[in-house]
Parts: sequence; structure tokens; C-alpha cells
Amino acid sequence: MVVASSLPELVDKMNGLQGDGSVNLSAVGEAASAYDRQIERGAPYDDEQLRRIALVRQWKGDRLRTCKFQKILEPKAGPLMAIREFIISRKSLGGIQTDLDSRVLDTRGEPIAGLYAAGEAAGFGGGGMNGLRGLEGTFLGGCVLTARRAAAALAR
Amino acid sequence: MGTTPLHCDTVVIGGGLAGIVATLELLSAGKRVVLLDRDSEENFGGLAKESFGGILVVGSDEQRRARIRDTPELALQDWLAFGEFDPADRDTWPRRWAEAYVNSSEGEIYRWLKKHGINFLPLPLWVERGDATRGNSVPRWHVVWGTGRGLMLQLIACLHNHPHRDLLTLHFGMRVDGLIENGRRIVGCRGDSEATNLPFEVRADSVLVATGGINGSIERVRRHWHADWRTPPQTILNGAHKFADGTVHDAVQAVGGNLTHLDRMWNYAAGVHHWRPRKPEHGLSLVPPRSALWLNWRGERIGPKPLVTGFDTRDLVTRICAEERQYSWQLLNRKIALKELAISGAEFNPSIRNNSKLGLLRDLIFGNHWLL
Repeated sequence: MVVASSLPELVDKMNGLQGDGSVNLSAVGEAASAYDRQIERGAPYDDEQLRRIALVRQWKGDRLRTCKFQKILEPKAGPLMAIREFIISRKSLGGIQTDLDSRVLDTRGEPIAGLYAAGEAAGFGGGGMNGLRGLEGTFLGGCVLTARRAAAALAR
Repeated sequence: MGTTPLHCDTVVIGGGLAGIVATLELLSAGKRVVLLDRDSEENFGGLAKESFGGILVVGSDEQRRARIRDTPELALQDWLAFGEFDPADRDTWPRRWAEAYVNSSEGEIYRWLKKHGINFLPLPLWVERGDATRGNSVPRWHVVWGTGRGLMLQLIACLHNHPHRDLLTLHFGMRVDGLIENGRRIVGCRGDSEATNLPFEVRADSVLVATGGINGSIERVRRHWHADWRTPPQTILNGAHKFADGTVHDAVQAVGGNLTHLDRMWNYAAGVHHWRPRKPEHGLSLVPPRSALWLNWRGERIGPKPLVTGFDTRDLVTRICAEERQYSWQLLNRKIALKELAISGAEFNPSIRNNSKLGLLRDLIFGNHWLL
């Protein structure tokens, strides 16, 4: 993260952080001013980000944590900040294929006697219960459900 | 562990949320359990203990109080759309599990957790609303009071206080790398002590693998990188558990187990390096501020449709990986940071972690001063 009181200073620090001169001051300046101009013009917004901010602010759980159309370059809101962000590995959505009793299945779809799998190891169920995307909260929930189903089968 | 191999009804491999929940239930059923964990006892609880602690529940008391109308049918439609399931294909195991989840979340997950002393924040949050595909139609993300850390500490306490605690043997620092077969039946597991490399064996009537995912091995993450995301970025931070490295996945495959969809991952777009790393390329996931401008490596606003968190987390990763340099910048100011900047996870949300209701209220109204 870099912090600065002016945009040229900020962009200099961004370039310092990432090692070459790729961050272009006029690109950053144009992005920020265009966005701030939209806020200045007021609703209804052409900008998709502002429309989404308006949308999420309708749910009280999100309103508390979302600014009300905050301009980037507003002096009183400063200093300016920039955070460099990388892709970060977190959860496997695939894994060991299991049936609804959490029994591990072989490549022909038959249960392997004595072997069970639960939680993220089983892709949270069936080797990939979430499909391509998770609705969020299905990971901890999936651990509980697959584990309870395994134990229930083992207890029978 | 000694030279005599242990024997029990079930050996549970992995002391995370799944392993601990299964053990609690097995003890209640009067079964003798050996639970093996690869980490030290102070880290008992796996990745769940470091998580923010949100759980998807359909039909909770909190939803009812907030007048949210949710049903398993609605949740399933959202789930199948967001996960890009083929609607005509009803017989896959993922599909069957998705149906089981939405139908059982209230009874088998939510009520069970409450019975074990877990409570939730009063207002469910609305996440993954969907972008190109439909996502959550209503708020159904319930955050545990105490975060994932509170969740795990409570369940571990339940374990130690279980009426059948004497039926449980816990061993830490144990790395399982093989399953023992007798004909076509699995009868135990083997491995080495992490500290001493001395070998061990546990014999059991059944084995439960609860060892987490493969995302703790960045080498495996790169190997199974999804085609939607082009080639793996130069820098991929590690936000998973260091021991979730696929060792036991390999052991399961070696005895014929089927591994599927390893290229499907829940990775995040806004990772930063941890300032006190506990593993190589240790990263923290930021909650990307909604009011920040998301820029590419050149400082241009990513578009034409801007990136905004809360709709489709996977799509954020896809769009950044489509850039020439696969990292990004977020541009914001102090006012935005105070209100919106957060680090995802238990470590950095002291008010929720310490069950401080006043502290949480103060942070929401006055901002995250403690973070800055």
C-alpha cells in the first residue's frame, strides 16, 4: 500500500513499489476525475460501479459498510491511497468424489469399502458440490453437512 | 505414538471443521475414534479457525426476523445458476449434494450449530449477488459471533467436554501419506511424525479423510489452473492452509478413489502479502472496498464494466487474469479506507472475534481506525 497527498506523488510511489514506470499518471487521473464527475452530476448514474453502490446501500447490512458516493480526489477525504493486489489461493471446489453418505467412490462410481471423505477434501461434497462458483458460506456449511452425513452412515 | 499400532472404530484424518464435527457425532454414537492432525495442538481447528465465519443457511431465525423470504427452491435455483450446473444433468453427485444442502441447511447445519453453542450476527449479509449469472437472490450469509475462530474454539471445547471423551484419542503432528488396504477394503492409514519422521500406523474399521483442499500447495494450484484464467500469474499468494497440500488426495487416488474438478477453485482477487509470514508467499485476502477504483497494472480503470466486489468473486479473478500483467491496483482515499477496508478472516476482526458487540458497533459507526 502506498499513501500520498497528491496524485502525481501517489503514482510515483506506485511505480516505485512495482519496479518500472508502467503506472500511467494520466490514465489514473482520467479514471479518478471521470468517476468524480459522475458523482458530481448526481443520480441517475451512468457508471455501473455507482449504480451497484446505490444497489448495495439498499440492504442495511451493507449500507453501514459502504460509502455514500465518495469522490476519490476530494481533498478532505485524503490522503490518497493505492493498494497493489494479487491473486490469492484459498479454497478447492473440487476433490474426492463422495456419495450422500460421504463414502468415497472409485472411478467406476462404486463406494470403496471402509473409506469416507468430508469437508474441503471432498469438494465440500460429491467432489464439487458448488459447481464453478460458491454462493459463499457453503464451505463451512458443507464441512458440517458432509461430516454429519459421514458419521451418521458410520453409526448405522 | 509407540510401537503398537492403534486400533479403533474410525480414524479421522484431519482436525479441521469437518474432522471435529464428525468426531463429535461419532463419539455421541459410542464409537472409538482416533483423530490425527498434522499441525501442532495450538493450531487445532484447521483453516476454519482463521476464517471470517460466514455460513449459508436457508430459513434461519435471523432471516425471518429481517423479513427475508427464502426457500430451498429459491436457493437451489440460485445455486445451480451461479455454479453453472447443466440444468438437464440431475444425476451428478455435486447436484445431489447441492439439493441436500439447501434442503438440510436449517435442520442439519444451523440447528446443530446452535445446539453446540454457536450464535450468529443478527443481520444476514448479502454476498455473491451474481453478475453475468444469477447469484444469491436474498441475503443468506450468516456470520458467526466470534468468527471462524470462535466457531472452532467452541466446537473443540465441546469435544473436550464430550461425555464419551474417553473414547477419543488425539494425536498431533502426524502426517498421513498412505491408506492401508486389506483386499478391497480400507483398514487404516500410515504416515510419519512431522517432527521426528518416525513412522506410525493406525488400524480401523473405517477411515474418514478430512484433510482440507489442495490450495495450500501453490504448485498444485498452478498445475490445475482453470482454462478461464489463462496461464497462472507470476505471483499467486497463499491464503490456504499450509498442510492442505494434496498429500492425502494422492493416497486416496492410489487406492482407486476418484478425484474430480480439481481445476475449480475459490481464489480471491485482492490478496496482499502478510507482514508476518508463516509460510512462503503467505497472503491475506482484503475485502476489496466497493468505493475504490479498480485499476489494471497500467493504472487504467478495468472495464468497460468496472470491477465491484460482492457480485461474482470468481469473475474478479477472471478479469484480472485477462490483463497482460495479472495483478491490479485499488485506488482510494482515507475516508473510504476507514469505512470499507477490511481484511477477511478471524485474525483481523477483533470486535467480532472477541464477541464485543459494543466494539463492533463502534467500528461500524466510527470506522476501522484500528486497522489503519
